[in-house]
Amino acid sequence: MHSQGGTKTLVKIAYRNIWRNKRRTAFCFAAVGIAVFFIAVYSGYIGGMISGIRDLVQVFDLGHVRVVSELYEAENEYMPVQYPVADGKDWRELAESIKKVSGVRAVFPRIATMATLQESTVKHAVLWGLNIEDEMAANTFNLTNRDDGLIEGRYPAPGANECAIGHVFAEKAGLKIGDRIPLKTVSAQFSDRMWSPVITGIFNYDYIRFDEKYIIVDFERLQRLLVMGEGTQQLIIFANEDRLSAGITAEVQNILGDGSVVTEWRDNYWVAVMESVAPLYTAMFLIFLIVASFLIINTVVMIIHERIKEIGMMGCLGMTRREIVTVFFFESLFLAAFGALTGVLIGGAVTFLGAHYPIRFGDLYGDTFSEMPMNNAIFTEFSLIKLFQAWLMGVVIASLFTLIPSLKSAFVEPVEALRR
Amino acid sequence: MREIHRILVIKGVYRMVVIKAENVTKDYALDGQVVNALRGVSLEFGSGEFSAIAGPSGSGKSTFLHLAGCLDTITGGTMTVDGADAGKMSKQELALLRRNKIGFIFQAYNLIPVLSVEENISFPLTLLGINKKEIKERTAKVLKEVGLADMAKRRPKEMSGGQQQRVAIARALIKKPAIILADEPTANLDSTIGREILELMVALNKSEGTTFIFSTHDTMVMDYARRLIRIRDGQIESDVVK
Ligand SMILES: Nc1ncnc2c1ncn2[C@@H]1O[C@H](COP(=O)(O)OP(=O)(O)OP(=O)(O)O)[C@@H](O)[C@H]1O
Ligand SMILES: [Mg+2]
Repeated sequence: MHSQGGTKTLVKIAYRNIWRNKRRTAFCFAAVGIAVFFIAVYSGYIGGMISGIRDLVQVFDLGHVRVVSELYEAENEYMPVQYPVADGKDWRELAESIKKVSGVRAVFPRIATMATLQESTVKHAVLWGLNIEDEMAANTFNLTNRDDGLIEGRYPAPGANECAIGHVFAEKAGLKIGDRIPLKTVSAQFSDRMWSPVITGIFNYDYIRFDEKYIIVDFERLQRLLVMGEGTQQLIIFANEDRLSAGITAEVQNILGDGSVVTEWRDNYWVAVMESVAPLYTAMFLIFLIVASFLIINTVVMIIHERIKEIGMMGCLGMTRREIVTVFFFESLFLAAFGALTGVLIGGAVTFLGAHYPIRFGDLYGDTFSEMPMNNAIFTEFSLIKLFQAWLMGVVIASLFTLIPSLKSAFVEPVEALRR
Repeated sequence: MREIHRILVIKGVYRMVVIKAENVTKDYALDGQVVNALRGVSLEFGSGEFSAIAGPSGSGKSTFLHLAGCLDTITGGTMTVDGADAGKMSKQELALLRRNKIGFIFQAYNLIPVLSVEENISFPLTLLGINKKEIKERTAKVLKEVGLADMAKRRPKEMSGGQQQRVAIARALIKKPAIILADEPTANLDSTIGREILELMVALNKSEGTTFIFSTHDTMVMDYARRLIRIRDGQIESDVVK
């Protein structure tokens, strides 16, 4: 009895019906549209924040996987240098064996330690020893501009008594290229070490924690200054892909044994926090949509009331209950779908803009959030999949909720309807 | 289910029985009180008849048409529509019976406002799942019969009452129903237009053999009928074939 042509006509009637009361339709579009707009923009923003944190954690803190010694990990807030990885074994040998693990792209040694500045308004800084050239080639340190972050001069040469400092640091301490920074630090043997490297470069990573506190020096020069032999405080491992990090972590732990702590980027507190709150956002989005759906529900209830004679007539024509419900259900489906589409188009445009022109979060809030690994600039994430999900979520929730009032139309008795 | 069609002889013409009401009663419950809208109505309608049911307001004309059209269920008696016992059918079966066999015309036209004239007219055929080509041909033919061939693309609200009622007639007619039930089809129209509509119905009754039953309390309209049934307080007062 049911034909394709019949259903097509019912859908056609439903579609034309939405334009019968343009103002009411506009309100429905707006309600669902605004909800979906927020979902699109908010999830783009959260997505951008998560990937921003992920990038920072990977570039500055953990790589994909970081190796330190157990003793270091216990006191890590003091950045101790006396507990090298694998009891001070030559880092190159360690790196060679780690590089054999599949999925490993690069392994770098790093040392970070506190320094006290002698003749400066800024009293404390962190000395950060890197294999600068290799690290710069492997990663982008300025994640806003996607470059090495150098704004003046050059990075220190291998083995030289040179350093690069952040632009905020330079400004606060009144330092410029060519100046020396006399500083004091403590070696692996607990002896005071004095050093005054020349500033050869000034960088801007758009990451306040590093821009105001870090002094970048050559890894080997720092290793020598701190009397660490061939050892390293940390080994930073980069994988070919994010998802390989868990496997690499397990294998590296296996190679190095119990004395080493192998940490995956995902274990970073902030990354874990951001990922664990994701269901909360989904719940919030659902609530947005349910609230918006009420307007459609109300509209459908009103429509059924208004068109009661029409429903009666449909019954006279021999339309079954199912066919009548189909008309009203599709009508609310169209309201939801077009409303959600409007929201997703505008939301998509906003996230697209946000993906190219970041929000200068740091400029707005200063360093309130300096505890959190957060880039000064946050890009929103423009993802067609996420936009589609936002649209789909809008359509599914709104139409599920409007199915109930649509069903009401089936219980209109034609005779009763005709008497009105 | 289906009983053998009875034959009715009216004025020497043999007709198949399309509707047979036997001692039909219909009660409505209204604020705890029972309204006896029909109190034992027995009537037979043969195919090709052109009958009017006349009576004062509240006499039960609409009630009878609704029951004959399988829109409502009877309280007592039996109602046989095109050989099927309507009293024993489910809502779904009644809907399908209406879809296949019965055309309705109302005082208020009751067209689907978002469909054009031709879409309104072809809608019953679409519901029946008839193929596009046939729908097109039949729609064109019916449009011509009701004199609206040049208004096919208009929407109902762009037309006069008389024109809308022609669309309603075309919509009822197109599926070649066993019967067309018209509840006061001219009540909303002025008398000249009302006459035109009735003349159209008479013409279709002649040319297509379509069976019509319509209700009215207008004497002008009664004059058109070839069989006039008078009803009062839910009972048949007289039944005259002219
Ligand atoms: N759904 C209902 N509930 C209660 N009473 C009803 C219902 N439908 C009809 N009635 C009553 O049944 C009686 C017959 O009504 P019906 O509509 O058939 O009259 P009618 O002859 O068509 O009148 P009119 O010329 O005013 O259209 C009336 O008294 C009416 O009030
Ligand atoms: Mg009536």
